Amino acid sequence: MGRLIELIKLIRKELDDRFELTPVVQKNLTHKQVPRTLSWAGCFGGLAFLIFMIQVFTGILLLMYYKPDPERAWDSVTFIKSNVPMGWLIQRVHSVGANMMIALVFLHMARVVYLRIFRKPRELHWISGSVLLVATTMMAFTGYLLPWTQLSYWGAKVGTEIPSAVPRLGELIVVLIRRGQSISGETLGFFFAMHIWVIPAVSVLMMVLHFLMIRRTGISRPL
Amino acid sequence: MNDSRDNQRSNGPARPRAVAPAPAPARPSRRGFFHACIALMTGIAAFILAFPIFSFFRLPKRISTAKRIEVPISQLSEDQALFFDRQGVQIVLIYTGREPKVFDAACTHLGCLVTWDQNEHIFHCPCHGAVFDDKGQAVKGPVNTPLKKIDFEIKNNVLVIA
Repeated sequence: MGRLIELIKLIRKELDDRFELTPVVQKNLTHKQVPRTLSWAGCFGGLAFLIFMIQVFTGILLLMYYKPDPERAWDSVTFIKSNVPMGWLIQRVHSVGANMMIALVFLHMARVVYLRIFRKPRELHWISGSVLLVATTMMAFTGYLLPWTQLSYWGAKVGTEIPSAVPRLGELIVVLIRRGQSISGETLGFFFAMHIWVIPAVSVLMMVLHFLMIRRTGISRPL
Repeated sequence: MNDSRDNQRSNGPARPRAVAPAPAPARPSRRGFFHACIALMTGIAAFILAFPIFSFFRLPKRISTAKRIEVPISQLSEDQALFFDRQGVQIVLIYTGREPKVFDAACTHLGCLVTWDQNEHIFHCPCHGAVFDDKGQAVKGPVNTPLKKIDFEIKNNVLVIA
């Protein structure tokens, strides 16, 4: 144990000699300063980010066994839940985590609305946050189809029928989202691509902007 | 770290730079005790998180393909080859001269699966052109080991590979 501590101290010293990491770590992690007036509701945004990282991680683990094909999708998920060691846990964390993410972004948004943090100079925070809200919802929607259960299929059918209410372009939008007239293997492949790459990339980009802007303007204090 | 810019700053008394948290002191103190407790609990939490993740990477139980393969003799026709998957190993059964033979279908060079050529009466490996005769002996190509033989029995006109 003593030698482990010595090793950790040596690594810290070498990193500090080269990068002066300790002040950075302290300012951003261990000794981060927040306004004295910040309440526990100020945790929701960071918690949403934490859950996002957990979702990415469990999602990557699930991706190792999932097969995005209508014939095999449900079987692959059942395989994960029954045969893969701890697969049931990873799948359940991913499923519950999705619900947690929606809840947390809503709570975070509620706090911002209630305390009117979206005012100048933080308008763009609100706009990027709105994009993130839509992205989170889209992640939940596309992800829900992937296990290809009865609920998945019919939920996707109803959900993708909604744009048909748009005048003139509605039918076209529905066909474009479904990649066809009805929910099929093409839809599954499209939702799969959106879920694992396209929407996460947009989310990460928006998050980077969101966090950089918050750093720059500071955590809001009551007037 | 000090550099030449320190001498040019005129902000008053030197501000202390951010210092590293006090290293574990020589004699026990409350701070050291709390640091040790936090480190211990972080270690336990990390272990609890890491254990399922490492478990996940172990190989899952799979429904294995059958070990026992039975083929009625009447189903075999001359010069025909049948391929089977036996617990993940591909095997080939050929019937030449009214005599069945069973081999492991992996070429002894680098393991590609051999194909049976009915007209030429040989096994041919598509990867590097190895050729085996109908007794599994290496004829041509980058091989000198024969195809591995698999044991079988014939009971009641049924060929059984156990």
